Amino acid sequence: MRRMPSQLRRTVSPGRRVQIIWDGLERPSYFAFALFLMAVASHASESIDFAKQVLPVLEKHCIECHGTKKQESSLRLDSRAALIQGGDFGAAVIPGDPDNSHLIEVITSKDEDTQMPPKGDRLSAQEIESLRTWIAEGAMWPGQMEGTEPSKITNTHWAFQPLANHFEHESVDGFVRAELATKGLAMSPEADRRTLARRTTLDLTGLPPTPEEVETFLNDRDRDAYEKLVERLLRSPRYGERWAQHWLDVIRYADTRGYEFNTLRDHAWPFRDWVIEAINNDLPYDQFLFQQIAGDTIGIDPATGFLVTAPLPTPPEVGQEQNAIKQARYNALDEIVQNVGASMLGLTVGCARCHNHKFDPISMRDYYRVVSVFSGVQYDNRPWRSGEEKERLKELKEIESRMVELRLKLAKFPQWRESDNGITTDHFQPVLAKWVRMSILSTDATSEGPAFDEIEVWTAAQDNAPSKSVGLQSNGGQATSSGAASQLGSKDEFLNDNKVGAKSTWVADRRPPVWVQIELTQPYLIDRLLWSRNRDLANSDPAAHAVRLTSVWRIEVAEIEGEWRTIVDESRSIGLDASAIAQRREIETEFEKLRVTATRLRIRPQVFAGKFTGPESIHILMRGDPQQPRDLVGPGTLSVLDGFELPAETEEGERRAKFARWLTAQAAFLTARVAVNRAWHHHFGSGLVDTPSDFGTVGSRPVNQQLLDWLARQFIANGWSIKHLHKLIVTSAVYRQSSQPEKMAIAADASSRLLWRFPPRRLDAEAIRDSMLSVSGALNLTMGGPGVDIYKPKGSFDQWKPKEDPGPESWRRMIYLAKMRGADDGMFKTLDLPDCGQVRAKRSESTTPLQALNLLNGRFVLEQSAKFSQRVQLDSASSLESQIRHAFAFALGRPPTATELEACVTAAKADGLETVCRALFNSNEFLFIQ
Amino acid sequence: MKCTHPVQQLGRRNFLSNFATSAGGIALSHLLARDGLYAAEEKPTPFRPSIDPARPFAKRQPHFAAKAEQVLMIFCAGAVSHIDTWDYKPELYKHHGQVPPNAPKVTFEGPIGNLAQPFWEFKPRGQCGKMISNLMPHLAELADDICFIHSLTAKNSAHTQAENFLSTGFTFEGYPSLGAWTTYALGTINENLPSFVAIADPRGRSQAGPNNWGSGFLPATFQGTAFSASEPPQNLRAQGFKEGSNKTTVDLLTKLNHEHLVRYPGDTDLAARISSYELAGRMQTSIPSLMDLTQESAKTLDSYGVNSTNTIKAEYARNCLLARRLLEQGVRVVQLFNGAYASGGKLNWDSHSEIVKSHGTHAEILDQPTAALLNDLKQRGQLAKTLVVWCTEFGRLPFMQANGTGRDHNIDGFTCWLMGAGVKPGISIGSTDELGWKAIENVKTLYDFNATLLHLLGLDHTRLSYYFNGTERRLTDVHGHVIEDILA
Repeated sequence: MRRMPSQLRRTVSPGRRVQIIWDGLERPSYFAFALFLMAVASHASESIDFAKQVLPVLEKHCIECHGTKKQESSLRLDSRAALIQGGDFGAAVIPGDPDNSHLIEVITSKDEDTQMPPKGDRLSAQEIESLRTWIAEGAMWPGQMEGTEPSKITNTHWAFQPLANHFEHESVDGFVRAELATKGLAMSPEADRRTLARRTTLDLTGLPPTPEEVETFLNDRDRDAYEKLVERLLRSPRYGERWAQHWLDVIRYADTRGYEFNTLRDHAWPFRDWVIEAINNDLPYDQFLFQQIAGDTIGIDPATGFLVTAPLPTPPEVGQEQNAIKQARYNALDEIVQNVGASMLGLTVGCARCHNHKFDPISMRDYYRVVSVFSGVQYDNRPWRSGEEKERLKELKEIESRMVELRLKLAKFPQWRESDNGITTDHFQPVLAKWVRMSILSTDATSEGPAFDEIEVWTAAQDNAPSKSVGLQSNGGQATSSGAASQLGSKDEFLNDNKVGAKSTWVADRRPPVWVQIELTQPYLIDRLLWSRNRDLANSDPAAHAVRLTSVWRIEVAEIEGEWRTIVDESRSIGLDASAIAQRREIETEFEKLRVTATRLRIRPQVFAGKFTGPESIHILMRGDPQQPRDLVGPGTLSVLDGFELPAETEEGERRAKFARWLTAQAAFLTARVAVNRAWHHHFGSGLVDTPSDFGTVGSRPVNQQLLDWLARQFIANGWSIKHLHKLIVTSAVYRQSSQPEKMAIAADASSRLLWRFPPRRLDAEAIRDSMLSVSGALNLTMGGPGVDIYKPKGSFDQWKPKEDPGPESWRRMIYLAKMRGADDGMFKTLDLPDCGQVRAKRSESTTPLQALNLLNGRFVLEQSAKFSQRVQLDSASSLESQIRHAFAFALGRPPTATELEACVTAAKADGLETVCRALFNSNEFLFIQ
Repeated sequence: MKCTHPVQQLGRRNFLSNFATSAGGIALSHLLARDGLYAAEEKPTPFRPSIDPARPFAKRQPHFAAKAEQVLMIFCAGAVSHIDTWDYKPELYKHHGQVPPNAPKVTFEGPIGNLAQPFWEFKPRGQCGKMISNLMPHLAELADDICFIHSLTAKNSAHTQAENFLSTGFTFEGYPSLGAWTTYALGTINENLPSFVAIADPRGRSQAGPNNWGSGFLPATFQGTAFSASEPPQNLRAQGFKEGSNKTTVDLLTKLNHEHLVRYPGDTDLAARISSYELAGRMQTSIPSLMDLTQESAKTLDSYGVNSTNTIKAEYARNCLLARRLLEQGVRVVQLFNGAYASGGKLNWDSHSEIVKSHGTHAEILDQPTAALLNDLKQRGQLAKTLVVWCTEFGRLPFMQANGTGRDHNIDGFTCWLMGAGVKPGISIGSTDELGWKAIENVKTLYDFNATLLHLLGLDHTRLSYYFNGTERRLTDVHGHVIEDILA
C-alpha cells in the first residue's frame, strides 16, 4: 500500500473538497453506498469457494505489494495468519466480522488516500462481496487453519535474550584482556598516580582534585590507596552533582517550556535536586526508576518530574482547532514514552506510533499500551508533600496567632489600618454617614490610575445587630466615581457588585487624584471601610496585585449631602498625638512583617512533576492520527519483553506502578544492560553498546557482550547499587591504564574502543566551567534550590538573553544554573551543550574555532583567570616562580617542567600572571581527561 | 575522530562488525521480513562525509555536480500573506465580503470573518508578466528572475513549530537545521570564516530563534554563528585585555599545547584543538574586515537603503550588505531574517489585526534592501553560484478573522520562491484554489521544498542522514520528492 503520510492527506484533501463544493458538486453519499452493499450482501447466502472466489482476488489486486516481494505498511495478505496479524494499522481481517475488517474498509473506501488498491482498477462489487462473505464465514483458508492466532512475538535479537549464565572471566579486566588478545593487542601499563588522581576525580565529580588531594594520594603508601580515593570521591556530594547531569541529558531536563512562550517552569528544580540526592544516596537503581515513574504512589513527589521534562507548547501555541488540540495531547504523551523508552529500556518505542516498529519487535499495540499507562499525566504542577509541610503549617499557625494579638492591640487606637489577604481595612470611630468617599492621591505606579475589585462599607456591630456590609448594591448602595475607564470595559457598578476578579474590577480612567464614592440608602453608623485590588490572587500570586495599587488616600463621609468631613486623612493622625502615632506605627510595622511571611507560607509548595488525572481512553491510532482511532487498548508493556496488558479500567497510579515494577522484573535483563552500559559510556567515553539509548536492531552490537552481561548480573546481584558498579569499573586495571598513544595500537583501533589504553576525551561544558571556578577558588558549593538565573527577564515571546554580568551568585556548579531552552549563554553552547529538545544519550564532541574564541575571550574565562591569578598571588606571595608552580598544581595537579616554567615566567613578566592563568584554562591538558 | 558517526568509525576501521549493516544484520532483517512482521525496505546508503577533526570545515564534495555552491535564505518570520503579495487571485475580488464556503468556525487564533480581497493592487511585472502586488514594488521588478512555488503546505499552524518544520523538517525541538546539514555535508569554501551565519532581524530573533540555525544532534561544529551588521560575533575579542597581552596568552598557550602534544604523540583530538586556535586567530581579523562597510561606495550604500531615515530599514539594509559580503567571501550558508518574534504583528509579519499597517511596515523594511542585495549578487556574478531562497513559515487566510482587520494562519497553501543557481527563472509552479486558501495543483510539502534545496546543492536528501535515536535521521524525515519542474 503506498500511502501518503497523514499530514499530507489532511492538508490536501480539504483543499480538494473546497474545490468540489465550489463547483457545485457533492460527494457521493456514503449512506447510499452502504445500502448498496447491504443489498448485495443479503443475496449472497451460498458458501464461498476460497480457491475460486477469494484467492484469485487477493492475487490479482493485493499480493504484488503485500506478499513475498513487498510488504507495504508491514502487511502481507498471502497467508491467513498474516491477514489476522495485520500490519501497521492493525488486523486486516477479523474472522466473522467483515464490518470491522480493515481489508473491507480500504477496498470499499472512496477516499483516494485510503482506498486500495491505490492505483489501477478498483475491485468489482462482485469481488468485494466475495471477500465480505468469506470473512463473514470465518475466513477459512484451506490448510492454514492451524496456529492462526497472532503468535506471541519472539525475537532472536541479542538484547531481547536473557543475561548469560556462564562467564569465562571473573573481572572486568579478564573480559577486556581476552578481547584485546584476539586482536593481537594488550592493555597499557598503569597510569602514574597524578594522572590517575586527576582522571578519577574529574570523572566521578566533574571537578579537578585540589593540590592537597593529589599530594595525599601520592603519599599514601597503602596498598589500597586508590580504592580509598575512589571511596572518598563516591562519598562526596560532588559525585551526585556530576552524575545527575548525565541522567538529565538523556531526558532533556530544562527549566523552561520551550517553543514560542518558553517561559519558566519555576517548580521543576525539585526534580533536579531529587536526582542529585538519589544518586548521592546510592538509591538502588530499581527504586530510582520506580520513583520517577510512580513516586507519587509512595509519597515521593519530585521524582515524577521525570515524566514531564520534554518541551511542550502551551494551549495558545497549539491554537483553537480541535484536531490540533488532540494532536498536541498525543504529542505530549509521546514525549513521555520517548523518555521512558530511551532512558530506561534503551529502545526507540516512539517509532511504533504510526506503524509497527520498522526494525524492532514493537507493535503499534505495544506503543499505545505504554501511552495508556501515562494517559493520566498532565504537564502541570502539583502540591509537594515534602517533609517540611508540617513545619510550614506550624509556622503559619504561630504567625497568624501573633497577628491576632497585634490586631487586638491596634483595635485600641481610635483609627488604625490592617492589610491581609489582599484586603486593606481602615478602622475608625463609629460615625453616621449616608455618603462615603475615598479620595486616592497616588498609586504605586505613577503612570496609571488606581483600580479596585471591591469597596465595602461596614456598620459598627451593636448588641442587637451584627455588623453589615451596607454599601453593597444588593443592599441598595450606589457607586459613583470621578470616572471609570470605559475603554477597558470598566464601570462604577464594579465597585460594590460583591464580585472580584478582572472582569468586575473598577479601573480609573485617569491618574490620581481620583475619587470613588458609595451612597447608602440611609445614614448608618459605620466603623470601617475595606478595599482590595486583586484579592483573589493575593495568596497565589502576590506580584499580580501590585499593579494600579492605591498607596495614599483619604476617607470622607457626609450625613447630609455636601457636608463632607474627613475621618481618615493621609497621615491617619486625626485624634492622635505624636506618641500614640509612633506606638501604632511600631505595632503596624510588626504586623506588616508577619503578614508578608504569612502570605508566603500560605502558598503550598508546588512541584512540576506531573498532575495525575483520570486516564484517557487510548485507542490504536491509524497512522498516529487522532482522527482515526482503532482498537481500544489497556495500559501495558512491550510484548517482546514478556509484557502485559491491564484492563482499560485500571486506576491511574496503579498503571504506572505496575509498569515501573515490570521494568525491573520481567524486563530486568534489558533494563540492567542499559544501565551498566550508560555508566560504562560515561567512564570511558563510549559504551560497550555505542548507542546507549538504542539497544534495538539498528543500534550497535556490544563490543563485548559477555562483559556487558557479567556487569548486568553483578549490578542486579548487588542490589542495583550504582556506586558498587562504579567501583567495579574504576578500580579495574582497564580503567587505571595509561592513556599514552601507541603507534601500532592506534593503527589497529584509533578510537581506543577496545580499551588498549584509557581513551582520553575532552571535558564537557559543565566540567570545564566548574573546573575553572574550582581552580580560581570562586566556586560556591551551595547545593539545591531554584535554578540560578543568568538571563535577563524576558517578555512573553522574546528570547532569553544572558546578563552581561551574572555576578558571583552564578558561581555555583552549572547544574544549579537555570537551564533555558534555546538560550545561548554566550559561552558554553558551542561546547556541545545539548539544546534539551530531543532525548540525548550522548553528547556530540566537536572542535571549532568558535569554542576557541569563547574560551579565550569570554567574560567568564577572563574573570576567572583574574581571580585565579589573585588566588595564587595571595597563597604564595614569595616569588613569581612559586606562584606559577602553585597555578600548575591547582590547574593541572602537577609541577611545571623547566621549559614550561620559563615560558610562563616570560609571559607573566610581560603581561601579568593573568596571562598564564588564561593560557592554562585554554590548555589541552586542562580541558582533557587524560 | 569525534565528528564522524560511530557506526561509520567502526566500519572504516574495518575492525568490529556493526551488525546493523553486517552480514548478521542482514540475516536478521531477512528473518523478520520472512516472519511477515517487518517490511524489508530498500534503504538508501547513508552518505557519510569524511570529516577531519583538525579541519571540520574543509570543503567536501557534493553527492553529484551542482551549480549552487552557496545558499542565501531570506526568512520572513511571522507568515507573509501570499494572497496579498505573490499569489494573484482575481476570484477573491468577486467574493469579497462573502462568508467563506465550507469554512471551519474557528481557525488557529479564533472565530473567522468574511472573505477579503487583497489589500494591495496587482499588476503584471517584467517580461513574463507575472501578476504581483504593489506591496513590494522593488522585489516585484525581479519577477523575471524568480521561480515561485505557489502550492506549498506546512504541517503545524503555530509559528515556532512551523519555523522548526521549515528549517529542520520536524515541528519538534532539537533537530538539525538545513544550514547545519549543508555544512555537515559540504564543509565550507573559506575556512577562515564561520561556515554558516545567521543574521537576525535588527528587532530581535524570530520565534524559533536558534532552532533555525541549530545543529540538533549533529556535532556542534555545524551550528550557525549568529551575528549581524550591528552585533559582531560574541567573544571575537577579549574585552579589557590589551592586544599585546592577548598575543602573549596565545603564544604561551601554543607552547604549552605543543609541550603536551610531545607527551601524547599522534593524538588527533589534541592536534585538532591546536589548529582550532589557529583558525580562531584568523577569524579575529577576517570577520572585522568583513563587517567594515566603509569600503562600500556611496552609490551601493544608497541603493540598499543604508541611509534610510527608517532606522530599522537602514539596519536591515546593512544586514543585507553583510550577507552579500559573507557570500562573496565564501560562507556556505547565510540566513537573513526579516521579522522578529510574536508581537501582534508589530515586530514581524504576523498580521492578526490591522494587516494593512503591519504588512505595510514590514514590506517597507524588506523590499528595497533585499531587492538591492539580489541585484547586487546578480551584477557581481555571485548569483550564478548562489541559491537564493525566500521563505516564510506559512501563509495567511483569504478571509478575515472576526476582528475584520487581520488574517489568520494558513498552512494549506502558501508561496515561497527561489532564485539563482540551478533554478529556472521567471516561472511559477503549483497553485492554490480560486480563493488562495488551499493548494490544489502540484501540491508540495515543505519536505519537497527542502529536498529540492538540498538537490540544488548537489545533495541527495535520502542519503544525507545521520544515525540518532534509533534511525537514520534526515532533514526530510521519511518524506520529500525533489520538485523537478523548477530545476534549470
